[in-house]
Amino acid sequence: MNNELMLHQEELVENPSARLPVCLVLDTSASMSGQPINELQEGVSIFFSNVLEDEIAKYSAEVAIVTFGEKVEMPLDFAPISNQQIPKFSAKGLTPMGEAVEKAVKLLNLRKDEYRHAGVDSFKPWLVLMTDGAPTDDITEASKTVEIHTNENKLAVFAIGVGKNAAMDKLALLSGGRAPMKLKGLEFSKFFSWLSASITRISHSTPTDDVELDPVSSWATV
Amino acid sequence: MGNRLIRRLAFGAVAGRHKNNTKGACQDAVFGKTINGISCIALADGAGSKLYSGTGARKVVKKCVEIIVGNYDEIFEQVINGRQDASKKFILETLLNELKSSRFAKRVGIQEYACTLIFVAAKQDLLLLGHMGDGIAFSVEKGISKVASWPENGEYANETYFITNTNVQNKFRLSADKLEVPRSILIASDGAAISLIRNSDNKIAPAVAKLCEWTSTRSRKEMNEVLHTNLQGMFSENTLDDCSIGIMADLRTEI
Repeated sequence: MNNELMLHQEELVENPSARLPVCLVLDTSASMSGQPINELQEGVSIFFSNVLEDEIAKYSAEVAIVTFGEKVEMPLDFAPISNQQIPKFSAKGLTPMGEAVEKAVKLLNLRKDEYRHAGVDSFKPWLVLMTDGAPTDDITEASKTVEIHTNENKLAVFAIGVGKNAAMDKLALLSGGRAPMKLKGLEFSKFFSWLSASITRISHSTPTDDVELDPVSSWATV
Repeated sequence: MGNRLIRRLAFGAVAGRHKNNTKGACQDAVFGKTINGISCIALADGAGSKLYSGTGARKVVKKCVEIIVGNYDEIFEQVINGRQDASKKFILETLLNELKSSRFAKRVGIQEYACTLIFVAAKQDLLLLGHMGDGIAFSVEKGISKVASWPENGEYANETYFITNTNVQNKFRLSADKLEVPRSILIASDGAAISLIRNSDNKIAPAVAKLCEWTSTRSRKEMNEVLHTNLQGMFSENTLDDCSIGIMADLRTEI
């Protein structure tokens, strides 16, 4: 074929890859102190490393972290994962889970609006909630917010209980119809490996793909 | 001295890079024909997760070209006079019946053959355009490119509409136009469209006008090869998805 009939890259346009916003909502209350918070820290680190290893996922996944303990904070705002530094978690205070979930949903909605205004395609946002206890604040509003968003297909929630004191009944109210799951022991690393694999799979999907996530048996108990 | 309109077709499809490891087949299909002065190109993008969607896409584009060419006058008349619904019903029902006749359709259901659809057809200066789901159609007149039909997607990056969905007649857009000057049309699947229009400001790539210009002066065989090489070499660099393009290029020459 005549080389003159080969397009040049400057005759095409570029679009950013579709973004997958993920908000990790993590319990950093006093009951998480010691081994649990250390395992959580290690798990989040594995999650970031795994996502960064994938050529597509590292540009697609955008992660924010909301912690709830002494207060509700956002130690990490949305950005491409390759530009992010993992915050150091410390365990203290109560469990204001409702406030944290509401904050996370707001952040995800804001991020989605930013994508829309910038003409960037995106996947359905993910909210990942992990706790070893029961909420110490009122979760009524947060539960309603999650229900509305999940019913309207605007949010996917993964609620994970850790240890025997995790209030699975309360978690069920914040999981938008998807049954909350219980972490096997302190298998944070296995959970976060599963999460990074799932995010990688979504980021590799093309329009019209139905993506099936991996089984959760390595890290979850029934 | 007078004018003569020359209309040429070219089309091509390549499998996406994400299939390199799985040896998966291309689920985009594109096909075109000119019969008795009526030209038509149809392009379909099979649903990624559906078992026979590549087969569905290939059957749909062939049948679509057959029915548009075979019923052009009647469809054009209905659409230009605002009676699109009858044409939409006829086209969709015929395509679905074609899918129902597929080998495994009874066992797995036609949802497994799901695909989107874009087609363009022309007879002299009468132009028809049909579109359901993602993908895009551009028009080029006097070297100026415009969007002739936008993609219609769901809210998220992996959601769109298929001809096999129920109650989607209202998502099937049909338009008719009478051309005053030669107009080329380029239709592209969403995979190829990533390289042809920038979402942030709707900037159309110069490649749209260039590919139409090339098509207008070259044989279909040569241009199909050009498209295939460019899809494989340039477009596939920008996406993991299958990429396909169909072009109907018009050129008016003096005789």
